[in-house]
Amino acid sequence: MTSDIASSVFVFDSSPLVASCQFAVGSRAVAEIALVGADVRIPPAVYAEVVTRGGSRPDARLAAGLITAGYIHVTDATVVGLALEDLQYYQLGHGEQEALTLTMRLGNRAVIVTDDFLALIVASRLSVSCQLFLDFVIGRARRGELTVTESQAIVRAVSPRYPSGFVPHSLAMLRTLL
Amino acid sequence: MSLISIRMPEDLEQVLRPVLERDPDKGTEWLRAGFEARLVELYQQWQALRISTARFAELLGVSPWELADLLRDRGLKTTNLPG
Repeated sequence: MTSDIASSVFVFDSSPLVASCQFAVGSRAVAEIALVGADVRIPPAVYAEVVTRGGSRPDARLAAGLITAGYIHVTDATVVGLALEDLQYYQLGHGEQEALTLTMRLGNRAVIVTDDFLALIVASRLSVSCQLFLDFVIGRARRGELTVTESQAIVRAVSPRYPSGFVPHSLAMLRTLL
Repeated sequence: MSLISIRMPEDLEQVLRPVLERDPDKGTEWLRAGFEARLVELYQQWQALRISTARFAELLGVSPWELADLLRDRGLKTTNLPG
């Protein structure tokens, strides 16, 4: 796993994308703050899970809006190569499979961002760079792409989602940047 | 409460129809019980890392948004991260 990657491409599966559209800092969704300015990609299967299946829900429409506005790019892994055969051994969803495949095909600069522990383990076994959404935020703060204050607010906003330990540790990491 | 139609296998229909004719509310009860049981079964598989988050949603037949809502509404963990 990695938490600090310069000039990377970030491939999201649906778990952090859904969460970042469901939690807000003040009146703005976390996704509108955390993702803007980063090179964020999703494969078509994640688009289907989040946008197509999301229908007219306000949070799904927000995700669709970020794609339409060009903050998230839909990239088809099958254009880059075949799906990873190794994934057949695991009970992953279509979105996670395509996100892992896309990250692998995009090479060393690509990182998969997922809050799914099984996907993280599979990525690690395949030597695919991976990180939690919290570490994506911390990485952006480290590179000066988000302010520490913004990052702290994001981490606090999504805190109900994470088991104990993850959020205090993230806030401690952010404090070292002050 | 809204009214929906569900396709039912013949063998099951033979058992269920007389009961539903006597007590139509039984259908609601069974539907709820069946859904909750499936949710719990898949939740346990998810927490044990036998299935991923997106697979959990696929097997339950809901979107990732709906899965997040279902888990939150029941006070369950919304990730399979340890701790």
